[in-house]
Amino acid sequence: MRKHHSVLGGVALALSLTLTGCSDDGTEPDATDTPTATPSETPTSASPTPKTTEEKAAAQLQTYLEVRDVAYAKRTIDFKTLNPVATGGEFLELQEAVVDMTMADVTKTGNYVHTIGEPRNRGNSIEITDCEDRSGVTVKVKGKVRTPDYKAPDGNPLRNPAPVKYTLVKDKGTWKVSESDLLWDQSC
Amino acid sequence: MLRRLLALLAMLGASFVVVVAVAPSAIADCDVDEETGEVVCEDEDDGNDGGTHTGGSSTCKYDGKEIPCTGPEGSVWSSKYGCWIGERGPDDLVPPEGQTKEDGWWHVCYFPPPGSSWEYMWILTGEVGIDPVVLAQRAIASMNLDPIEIGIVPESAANRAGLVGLPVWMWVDQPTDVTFGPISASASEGTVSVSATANVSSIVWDMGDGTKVNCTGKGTPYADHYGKQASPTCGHRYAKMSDDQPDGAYQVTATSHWVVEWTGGGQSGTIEFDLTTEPLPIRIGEAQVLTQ
Repeated sequence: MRKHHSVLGGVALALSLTLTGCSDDGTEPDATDTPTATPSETPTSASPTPKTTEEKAAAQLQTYLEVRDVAYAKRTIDFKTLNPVATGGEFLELQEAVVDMTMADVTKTGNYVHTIGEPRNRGNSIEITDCEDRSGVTVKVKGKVRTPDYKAPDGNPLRNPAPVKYTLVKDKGTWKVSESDLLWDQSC
Repeated sequence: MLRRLLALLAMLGASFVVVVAVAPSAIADCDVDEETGEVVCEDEDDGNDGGTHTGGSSTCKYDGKEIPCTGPEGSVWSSKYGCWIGERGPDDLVPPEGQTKEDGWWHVCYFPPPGSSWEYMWILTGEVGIDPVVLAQRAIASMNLDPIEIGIVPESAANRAGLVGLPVWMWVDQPTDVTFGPISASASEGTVSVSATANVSSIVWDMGDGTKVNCTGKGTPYADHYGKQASPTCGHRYAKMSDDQPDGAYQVTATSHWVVEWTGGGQSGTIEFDLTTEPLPIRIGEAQVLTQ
């Protein structure tokens, strides 16, 4: 797991989350229906209001991951929650992922655990690596569990946890997630 | 997937353009394909595509900004709906009241940020035209373009060798419209028609010794009367013998850079790509060695 550094200060603890956007009741969500179940969230420790640029970006990423995980679980997108936290390629990519899941009848149940690392301020952008643990997530295709859930380019099962590097950019004064890169050949 | 989206990203706002320009470039961007479960990586540098015609662009307008006319998964921009219209929805979706499946179909809509509502759109038959870029690529495919035929002295043969320090001449041997252009072709579907004209703008010669020579023209074919003159248009001199190279020869390739200008469907654009020859072995020796 990534060690948190002081730059995040008091936010660090709050960033190690269990995001329970995926339903764990074994039912398969239907993207064409309006979901009624509200995904539960494991209560997290009270996080202070982010103050620094890096803290604000990290908080935005945290929210984005919540939105993303709910989108995966419901196979639909709530733009009211996505618009404030994502833009650019990531904004489109999440839509594409949801469409792919719907078309191929892929479902995800269970909970991702995200451990957000130290933000790196690049000036016009901020990079943050999330250590994504999906051991609590079950991926099914047409109702059957897919094993392994993901395959790395080298043919081996994708490691778990796996680091994902996110890039955030300022969009109308707000840091938003604009890009992600799965670092499949690196460990957390 | 990411690389395709980067092209979109760059068009979606000024701030993105800055980010793309300053962000440290990775060798590849990777993401999972939710459908197949495979991690897919796409190189930053499209480079030589081995003959497939990728890339190209056409621009549409949205909210006062230029955006690509082609969105995720080959979806096509619709000003009417303010989204890229993509795949058809499931067959079991019921048409809206007063409509039948003859009139249209539910389609996925990909929204540029910010999005409004995530739902299938009922698109009337014929409302989604084919992207002119796709037609341009079809036109290019119909041209059956080829890499050039390499013309080079010293020649490539087992009993031929050049000398260190002497001029090497490179040229396009017997250029044709499919190896050098110009060549034009059209493609159409429905009411949309696109015309494209392709030309080779430059040729990069990889001489196999670490040198790349960029020539803008066809080069000058060597003739005996030139003697030991250097090529006036496209040449090289080897500084070392090739005996330490695999098979004792430098492997020379020529990469022709094609530029295709296309117009049609109310748009215009440029598609660029490279075609590379197979390596050609060229042996280089030294006079004293060769005369021993």
